[in-house]
Amino acid sequence: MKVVSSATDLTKVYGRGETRVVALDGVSIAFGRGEFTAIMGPSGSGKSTLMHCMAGLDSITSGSARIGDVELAGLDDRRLTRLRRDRVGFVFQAFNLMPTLNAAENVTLPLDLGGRRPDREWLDRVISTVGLSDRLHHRPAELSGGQQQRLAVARALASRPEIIFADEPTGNLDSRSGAEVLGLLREAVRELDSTVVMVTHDPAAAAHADRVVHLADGRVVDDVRGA
Amino acid sequence: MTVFRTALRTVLAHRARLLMTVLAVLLGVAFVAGTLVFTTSVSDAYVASSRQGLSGVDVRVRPVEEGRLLDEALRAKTAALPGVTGAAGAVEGFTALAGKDGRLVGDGWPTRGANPSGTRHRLTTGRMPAVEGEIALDSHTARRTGYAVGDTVRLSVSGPVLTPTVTGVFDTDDGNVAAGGTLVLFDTATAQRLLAEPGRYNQIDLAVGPGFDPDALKALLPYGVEAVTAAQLAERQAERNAESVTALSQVLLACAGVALFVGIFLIVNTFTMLVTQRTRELALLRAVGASRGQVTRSVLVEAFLVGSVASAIGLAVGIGGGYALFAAGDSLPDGPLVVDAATVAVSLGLGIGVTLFAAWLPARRAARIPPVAALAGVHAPASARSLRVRNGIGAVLAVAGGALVIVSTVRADGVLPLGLGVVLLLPGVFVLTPFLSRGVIAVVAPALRRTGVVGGLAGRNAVRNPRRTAATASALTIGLTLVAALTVIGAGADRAAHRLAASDYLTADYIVSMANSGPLAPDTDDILRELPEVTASSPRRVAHATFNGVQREVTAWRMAEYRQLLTLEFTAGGYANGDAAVVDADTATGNGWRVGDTLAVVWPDGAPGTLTLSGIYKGTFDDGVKVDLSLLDPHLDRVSATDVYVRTRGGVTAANERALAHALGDSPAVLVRDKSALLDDVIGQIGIILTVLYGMLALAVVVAVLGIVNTMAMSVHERTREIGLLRAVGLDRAGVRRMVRLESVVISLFGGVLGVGLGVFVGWAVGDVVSTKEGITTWAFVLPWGLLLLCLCGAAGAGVVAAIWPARRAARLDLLAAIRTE
Repeated sequence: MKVVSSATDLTKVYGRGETRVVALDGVSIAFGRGEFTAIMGPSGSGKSTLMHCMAGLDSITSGSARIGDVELAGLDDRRLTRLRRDRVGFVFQAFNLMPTLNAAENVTLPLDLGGRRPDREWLDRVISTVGLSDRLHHRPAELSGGQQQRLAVARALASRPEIIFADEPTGNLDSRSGAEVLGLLREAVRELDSTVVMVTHDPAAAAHADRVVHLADGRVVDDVRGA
Repeated sequence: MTVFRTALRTVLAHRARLLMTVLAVLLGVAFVAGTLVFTTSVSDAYVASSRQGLSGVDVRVRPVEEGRLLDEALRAKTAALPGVTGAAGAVEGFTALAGKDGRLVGDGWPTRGANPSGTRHRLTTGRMPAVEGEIALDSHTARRTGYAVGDTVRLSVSGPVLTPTVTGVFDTDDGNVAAGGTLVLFDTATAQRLLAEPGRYNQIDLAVGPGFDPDALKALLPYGVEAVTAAQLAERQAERNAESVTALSQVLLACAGVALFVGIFLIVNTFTMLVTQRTRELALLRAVGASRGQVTRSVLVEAFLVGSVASAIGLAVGIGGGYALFAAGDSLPDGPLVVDAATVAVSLGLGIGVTLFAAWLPARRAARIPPVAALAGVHAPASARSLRVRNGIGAVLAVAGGALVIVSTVRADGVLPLGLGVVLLLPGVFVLTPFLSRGVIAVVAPALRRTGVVGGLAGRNAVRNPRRTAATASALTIGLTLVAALTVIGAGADRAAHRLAASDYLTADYIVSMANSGPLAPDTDDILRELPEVTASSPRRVAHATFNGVQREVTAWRMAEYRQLLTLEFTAGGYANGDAAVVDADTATGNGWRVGDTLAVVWPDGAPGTLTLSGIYKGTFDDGVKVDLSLLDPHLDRVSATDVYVRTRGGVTAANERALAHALGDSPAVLVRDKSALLDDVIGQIGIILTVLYGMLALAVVVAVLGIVNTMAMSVHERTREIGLLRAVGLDRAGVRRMVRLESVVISLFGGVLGVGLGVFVGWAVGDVVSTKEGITTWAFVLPWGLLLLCLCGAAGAGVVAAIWPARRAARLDLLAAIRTE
């Protein structure tokens, strides 16, 4: 299996002296293509930090993180931004969408920012997959919470990223909408051959994944590949 | 007290966000305080110097109207009155002293010459001048120029250059000298010859003792001569001096007023945002039992604190600035800095008042927050209905105002409807700006979107909060409306002057006048007429005569030659010899005068006479009653003129100009100007006035820019999460900066376009109304495209500058914190 994202001895330290907190303590992990991974752990275990560091949202104290063959440590802000824009998709827990843009514009936002022409056929497929073909000209405020998260998934898929990072994507949703979004991510992996890494503290959400990684105190304590 | 303490904590917690509010109020208050400190200090200094200048004078006998003279016989008679211990005839007038570099010393008007007075001029070295060719200089001027006893100096009174020798240096309390002027003393006979007429005085200063009877003095005085006590004199002098300062201070205060008014928009925005951000907090207060009044008061107390701090600092800055201005003005008398209670009260009152006034609306809005908002945490956006009402009011005001302005331009005297129209139109447009912002920005939105997704976002962000955008843009609109109106009026005046020059009103080739616009030497005309180059000439003599009890300006010309010098287009009659007068059509119609009427006149010396109206001419700019020199001159004590009009053989040539100047002694105090030079001076003056006004309006624009900074900083703060999201999905820092900058430019340009549009409209109307009323027939509406475009570029530039700091803050936002923000 081809590795699309990996961390080697990844360490992240916040603060100094007495306020020094080791969020990640030498984590080594790799995510393969077409894999749906859930990262679990209690609050403060470092699961979100791991995701932020591996996605190029946060800087690394020591060690290495890669997207494909690109080393993130040492990239300046502009290169990191370009990397996120072109090669990574994001789904956050809340506030995924620009309120001033309509649904269609939100989906193509990373493409537009990069000045790339969207692949119409792919876009239509993504939008019909998330089931929002009839909502394209609505503003986010006119959509339900579940619809908004589905739209965020579509946005994450639109640029055909090498990997999608989802941070508690169902945290703000009722169980039915949550199940829909998880189903969508599952489908993205199966049908569209995407790679998804999802941070969650909800075992029910993790149950949708192929692989569940447990973090505690900034270390990987368990790594289980399911059926 | 709790309210006060909570308010204080709130203010301290939001101090960064209140910074622009404080700055705006501070600037306005500083300007007001500075102006007041400057004015009061200068006025007091003038009063003090006037008093000093009158030491030794108890009563002054002088002509009511300047220009008349008193003779030696009157001085002798007053000296003989019982109780009079001294009667000194004084002569005084413009005297241009050249420094060692050959240039005029001083600023023109306070450079004087006089005869010595025992009490007011105290010799320090040498002796007083005794014969022609000798002078004494005041010690201040001697120090400044480096002249000493024995030196030969160049000076000019009204005729050729003189080269007298300095025989003495003296100290004086003269107000002119204290104000930076120069004082040259001649012996009395020379002073009389140069500045007045032999044997005559400008005034007679009396020292009186016991037994003096004012009524006996009054009985001696001829028509048009008055006796004034030293106290009255000091008061009048101080008043006259203060008038010039008052005019300046009124302009300054008006500009400070505009700036404070502009500041209101900024303050409204700030407090609206503070209230919105604290919706939950305020709702909680309401839920636990605070009344609406208490909530309103808590916001107002915050405003009071902010206003007080800003006003106090502004007052301090203003006092410093006023002092600096006072100390730096070397044409002002010296004196102590005066900070009176009124200055402090007005400055603090204005600053705090404006802040409270501006915060009142947001405070009311705060009180309307329902207690349930504490739970929901959402605040209802401004309802469409309230904007509808607002738009309705705005439309009515704007349309009514605009209509009145248009009506004013078709009426003969449209000043009242014009003023009323502008007063309705401007607030109407400001009320309408939220509505207009959507429309205008929608027009530019496609262009913005073409620049990319960042441009599209910026355009949409600009109209997200129409009220705030409107208030922000309005601040800039006010400044630019005034600037654009002035520019249009200035361009019109410029064109009018050019057209006047191109017109054949003035057929004279040269106009000779004094550098200080004072009277020319009486023999100027005679000297010029002897030149072979001169084919025609006339002094323009001005005096006041009374017709039917109304005092009017009468100008006298050598009417036999007027055709060579000016064009009078007669609508009825023409010029006839004898006791004839011609008058402009407006004056004739206003008085019901017709050709052939006999007009009763009282000449300046009180003598009655009659004039026959022989012609009525079309008014241009030098209107009024015109008569021949032979009719006016016998009634003047001192026959002089400020201008002599000259027609030369061969027209305007360098040789002719040299010949005229040479005949007049190549004096630095005499100007020989042709029509185009005269025009350049007029246009130069228009330019100076405009520059000064632009400078003053800069303050309002600065406050407007602070307002944009404020709004952009608020927007960045409120959109932290959006910016974080954009950064996460791939917008780099430069992109974030560009987005904020573009939004700022869109808002500024909106304000600019609105301001320039309004300004052009108002400027057009003002120019039209004033030119119609004043009979300026050469007036034309001109659109100074270049300057107006410059205004718009300036507005865009203001947007870019205002965005620097907010854009940098937005770009530096920690994107993780932005995503996490609750």
